[in-house]
Amino acid sequence: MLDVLQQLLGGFVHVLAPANGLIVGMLVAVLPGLTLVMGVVLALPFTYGMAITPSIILLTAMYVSGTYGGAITSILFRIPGEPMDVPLLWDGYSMARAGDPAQALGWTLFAALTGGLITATVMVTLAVPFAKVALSFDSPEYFSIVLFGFTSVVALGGGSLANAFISLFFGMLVSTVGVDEIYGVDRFTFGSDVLRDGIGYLPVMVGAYGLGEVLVRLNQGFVSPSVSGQGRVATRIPTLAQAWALRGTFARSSLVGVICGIVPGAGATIASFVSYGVEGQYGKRRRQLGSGIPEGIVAPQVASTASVGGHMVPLLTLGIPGSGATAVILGAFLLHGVQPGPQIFQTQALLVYAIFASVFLGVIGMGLLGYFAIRPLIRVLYLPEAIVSVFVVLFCLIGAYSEHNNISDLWMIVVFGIVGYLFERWRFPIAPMVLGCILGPVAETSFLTTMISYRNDWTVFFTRPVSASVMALTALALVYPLYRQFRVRRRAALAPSNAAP
Amino acid sequence: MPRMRALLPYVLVLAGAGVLSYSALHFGYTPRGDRPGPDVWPRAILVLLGVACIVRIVTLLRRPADPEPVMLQDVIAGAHVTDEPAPAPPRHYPALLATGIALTIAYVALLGTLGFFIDTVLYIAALTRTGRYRRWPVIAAVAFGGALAFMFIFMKVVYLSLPIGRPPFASVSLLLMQLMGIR
Repeated sequence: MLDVLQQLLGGFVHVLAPANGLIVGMLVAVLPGLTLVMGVVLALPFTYGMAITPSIILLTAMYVSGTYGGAITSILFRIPGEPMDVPLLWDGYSMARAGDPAQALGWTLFAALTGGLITATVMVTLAVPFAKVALSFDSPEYFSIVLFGFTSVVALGGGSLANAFISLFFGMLVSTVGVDEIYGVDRFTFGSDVLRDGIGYLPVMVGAYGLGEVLVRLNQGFVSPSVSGQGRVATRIPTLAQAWALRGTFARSSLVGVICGIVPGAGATIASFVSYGVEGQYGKRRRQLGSGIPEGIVAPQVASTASVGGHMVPLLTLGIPGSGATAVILGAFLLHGVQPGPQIFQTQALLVYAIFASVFLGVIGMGLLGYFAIRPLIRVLYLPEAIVSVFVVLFCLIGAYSEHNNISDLWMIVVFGIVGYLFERWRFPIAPMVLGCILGPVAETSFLTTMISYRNDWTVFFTRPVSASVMALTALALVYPLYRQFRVRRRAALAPSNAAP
Repeated sequence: MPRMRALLPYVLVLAGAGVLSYSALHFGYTPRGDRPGPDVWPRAILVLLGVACIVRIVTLLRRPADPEPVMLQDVIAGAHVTDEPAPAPPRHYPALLATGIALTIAYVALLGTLGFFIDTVLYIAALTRTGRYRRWPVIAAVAFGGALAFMFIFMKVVYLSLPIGRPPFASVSLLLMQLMGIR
């Protein structure tokens, strides 16, 4: 009997993969202590026993719904579940406080649905032409694209550029530990058998994001934000006429979301903030932003959900993740022995179109779940943070153990958990380290292949049209933030002298 | 003193990069024609890492008044609704942090000996208590229920081989496996 139940449970997990993903994605987005990336990481071990298609669908559904769940707590309780939900505090919470939380929730849901459907359409439209172009790429093009990915992650990640670069180089260095694939030479192993196997990106990612975040919150004494009641929770969807009146906001924020998605490194958070800023500059009612108007809710929510499809395009066509969540999805692809890239559209076409279809269904499912399950969803806010955090750590540890059934992987989790804590403490961003660890080997292989194929002629990166164009973009992505920092500092230095009589 | 504290991570990383650069000079391999060796890529990264650290150290030494980079979190923290008071900066509990790290290290170290079930029950109980949760009946229920749920999901549904421990602790794992029908 127990066996039948077990098989049935396994069957439900497979059949309901998108629904499970949507629910878990929303739950992690609602909980302020759990980030969307951490949630996708924690779901990873459950995909080991699944076929690749439901695995990727599960994680993608989590990613889609995770961009919406945090909006509920931002609007109702002024608790942003994710950094991307912060702009929703300004108008969403203000509208709720003014006595219309149902309308605020309705605008968010409508915006997430619109952004999701637009992003799914863009993904289907752009991915195939992107993949066709990418098929003609050689190693110099791949190296320049990976380099562009690195620099834009660093440049758009916010904070100190030097810290972001240190984090990136640290991750790339970690990926070189172990036996070199070309020469079979030990690199930085110091005689340790554990290090000879190399340091996988999974322990780095799970340790830094999962255990590291729990350690940060433990150091703050697990102080959960207080949840004040809002009476009966309901959602009132705007009418089509009301939505049509905001067509300019929908168009602008969709464009911002998709572009931020395609550019590696500019995640949903950046999209959300940029879109709010764009609305503040070009919106019809820009002067009223922050006072609780629908434009201030629609702009960030459409952009953050619309960024998902944009992120999936470079992931599927080039194998380059543009955000933390897509880095984990790339990890799931690799764990199942599938390397995303232009070839995947020929070798695994069914998988690719199943992912496309699942995004459409996921968006609709997210809408239904957001409308009907809002009350049970916000109940998770009442769970004690200490208990939630212990389970997060255990998921991290079991997830890392399950990859090779090896306890030494758990030591790596502990080490990178402490590294993650120190990174937070010393204000180094974690995302560049994780991306450096994942893409470091790709960069090394494409660089060495280019050097061998083109007889150590490094000018090839600047003489081939595509590679040269991407290198120029890379230079721009590096120089522009430096120029921006320089201008800000100069303005700050000049400010007191200007103020003086 | 604050400046020294701000410089510490960069000095540590720079020193580590120096040690690893020395190590990279001594990779034992036989060169193949004019192909780049296995040390080229790591050494390039180490040089870039060192340069980034030096840039940051010099910046900090030249501008001691601005030691902390502005992060997205800072922007977010400053993004509260203006008519409400800003939240107080969080208090820090280094003793809790040290205990949490020690418990996690002990959990990993004892996993092979105690087995997954016993080790997990103890870990959940200890870390929940360390996290300042004080309702012992809830802690006990969560610890036993959580460990059993993990065991069932991962061993029975996901077919993962979790450590059963050494005798006499292994007998507890084997008994539970028998009760759950795990072969």
